[in-house]
Amino acid sequence: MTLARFQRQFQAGLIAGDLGALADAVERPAGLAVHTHAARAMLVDGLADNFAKTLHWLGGEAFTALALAYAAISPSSSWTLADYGDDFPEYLRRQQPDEREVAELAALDWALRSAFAAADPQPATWAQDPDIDWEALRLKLAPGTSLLAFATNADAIWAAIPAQPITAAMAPGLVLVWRDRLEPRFRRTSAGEGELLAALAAGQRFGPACDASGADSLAIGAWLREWLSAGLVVPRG
Amino acid sequence: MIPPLTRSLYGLGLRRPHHDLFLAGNVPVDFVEVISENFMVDGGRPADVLARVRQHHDVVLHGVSMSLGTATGLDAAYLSRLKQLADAIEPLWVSDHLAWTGIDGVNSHDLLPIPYTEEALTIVCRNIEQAQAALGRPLLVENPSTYLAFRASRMTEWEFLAALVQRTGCALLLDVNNIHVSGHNHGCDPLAWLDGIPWDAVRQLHLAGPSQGADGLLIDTHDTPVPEPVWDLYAEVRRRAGPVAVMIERDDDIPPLADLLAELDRARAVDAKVSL
Repeated sequence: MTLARFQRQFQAGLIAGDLGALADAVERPAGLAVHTHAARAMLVDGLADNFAKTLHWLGGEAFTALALAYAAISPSSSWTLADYGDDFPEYLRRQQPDEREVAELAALDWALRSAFAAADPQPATWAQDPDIDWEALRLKLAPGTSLLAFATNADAIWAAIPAQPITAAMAPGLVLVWRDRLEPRFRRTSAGEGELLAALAAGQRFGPACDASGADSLAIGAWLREWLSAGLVVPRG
Repeated sequence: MIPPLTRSLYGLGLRRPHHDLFLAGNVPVDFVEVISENFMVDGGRPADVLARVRQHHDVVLHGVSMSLGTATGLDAAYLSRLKQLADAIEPLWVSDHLAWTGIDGVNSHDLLPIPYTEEALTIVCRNIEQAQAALGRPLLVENPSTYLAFRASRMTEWEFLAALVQRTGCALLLDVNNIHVSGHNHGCDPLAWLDGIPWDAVRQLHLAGPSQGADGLLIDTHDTPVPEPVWDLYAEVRRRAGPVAVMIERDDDIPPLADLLAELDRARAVDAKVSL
């Protein structure tokens, strides 16, 4: 057997959680279990690290069961476990459709994790260019910045864990995640702000998006100053 | 090949609970080892911490995902990102393991063993040469802890490592605990292992502690103090090695920094005694 074929067989066994097919290839098959255990444990530990508040909300036993099931169908493809689980929130949404706060908590965990090591925000010096055609300008969210559409109060739950656990409740809104210097942050957007930011992030030109938002120019000016100050938006290429 | 050291260096791994102490800049070590992949990022706190630690300390980049044993070659994007980091940090050197972690784009995040065959040797040599060319610097290759011995193997681990050195010009990072763990798990004599190593290629040593696993196997967990059998083996290593960089490798159940510095002092004491 070539090394490539052997490695594909080994890897398939790891993902399936059973390396028994390789028992005849080794001197002491007991060692195979070390790797089946380690490979699963690494992925589950990676998810526990990346989704710490989700773990706390669900409890260790329930989280581990979900993480093991996810790991069995979602191998890692990154060089670091810090990148593992990008679609774990969506997996949780499918698995727990009646507890929407679980997937939303996970989405917030992931967005904060992504902001943690994203490219450093740059001063918005581009906005000082007097020749900018603001009407036609297209913006996008800066690296590490994201806008999450929530149906529940998952953001309040996140903030309350672990000191003062609160009950899940419906609370539709848009939650903005970004990094302030080195610290990941999040907040609920104000009425109209999140919708305008979402329209801009979707690629709408600044002028028409502002018109469609129905917000007054004073409010839009205040939002824009805050976005630029925090480096949340940048011009599209 | 990385030039021989003129004196031994003593270092520790940079772990999160100790970041603030290292950032203060007065930890008495000659170098700091970091897990490369934790710092192959776009920005934020990891990049900030490493840049500031680098102002006070020499740094060694130690990888866990290069996957030198993968039969289909290395990930070019990984190497490119690692080169960016190495060019920015200017480490003493870059190291990774004699192991594979995945194939066809999958990463198990476990250091998986390879059979010691001529085919595997050719592949690992090709991969080391690919890495060294991409990084523009020689590599240190670390001996693994192994729990499996393959019936297909046709050479010993030390013969395999010696051949890597001879064919690629790479240097070696000897993990003393891994020699202890693999020796225990396979019933091999660690001293025979030491006698087969090309010592003039050794640039770094790792000291760590294993845990007892099932079926009598020792597991390389890095979550305990360096145990006495590893210290005994370390003394044997020091009778053979020239000046090298020595570090305590602790990745879990991280104790206070003072405990690790005490272990590092013990390594210094062993070295002083052996050199008398």
